[in-house]
Amino acid sequence: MSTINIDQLIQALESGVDSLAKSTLNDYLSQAKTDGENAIDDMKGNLQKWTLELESGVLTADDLAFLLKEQSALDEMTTLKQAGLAEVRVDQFKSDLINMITNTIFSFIKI
Amino acid sequence: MLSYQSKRDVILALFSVMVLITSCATISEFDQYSYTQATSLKVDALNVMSNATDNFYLHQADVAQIRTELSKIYEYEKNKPKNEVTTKMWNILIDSTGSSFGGFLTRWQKETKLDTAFINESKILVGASFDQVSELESGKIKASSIVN
Repeated sequence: MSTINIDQLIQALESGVDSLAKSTLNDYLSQAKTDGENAIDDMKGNLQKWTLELESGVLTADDLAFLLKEQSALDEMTTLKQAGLAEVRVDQFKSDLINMITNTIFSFIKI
Repeated sequence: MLSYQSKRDVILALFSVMVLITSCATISEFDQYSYTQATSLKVDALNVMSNATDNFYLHQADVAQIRTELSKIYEYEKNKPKNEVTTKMWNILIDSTGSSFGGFLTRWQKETKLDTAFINESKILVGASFDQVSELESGKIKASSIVN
């Protein structure tokens, strides 16, 4: 005859959800932060380089204006990518949650 | 201690919640075709940009071809469910009134020729923009990873 201690099961599920949520969020935040810092570093480098090139005549004022708009478009693309990856994280969390619930329930079934 | 029927009801409720959760995907799954196209079109686009030191009209056919290929991938992505983010990204890239690859082609056509330094800087930015599309696609969940 199979028996399940429901209180312990619920406690195990709550603990599992908490751990899963923290690890999912930490992974996403870490990646987003790295991407953000890289984008800012690239932008600073570009602005310095383009300013020098403008002063030396290698770039025209129109060139610089267009490059600044292209940089802005790239920033928008990066932001969209992060938004998409956040949605992926949500779906991954759901999938991991199902796995955790299934494994926890079956670990509690005692024959 | 709960009766057998109550335990059964709890388990049934848990499984019902699980079914509900899995039926609501937030974003499209990884698509190998989408990824291949993003990386392939990046190469083609940068090659076209390299020709911008020449008169635009010498490369009109190449420009028309890449514009057609980009329109095709845009239509493909636009009609995929839960794919709004990727669709927006392609729109930014190809928009001829915008400031990414589409806008570059428009400027080339208007100015007839562009300077090497500008082209080189633009290629870096456009290349990085294409990379955002590829990186998002490669970050999506593969169908085999999803629990049914």
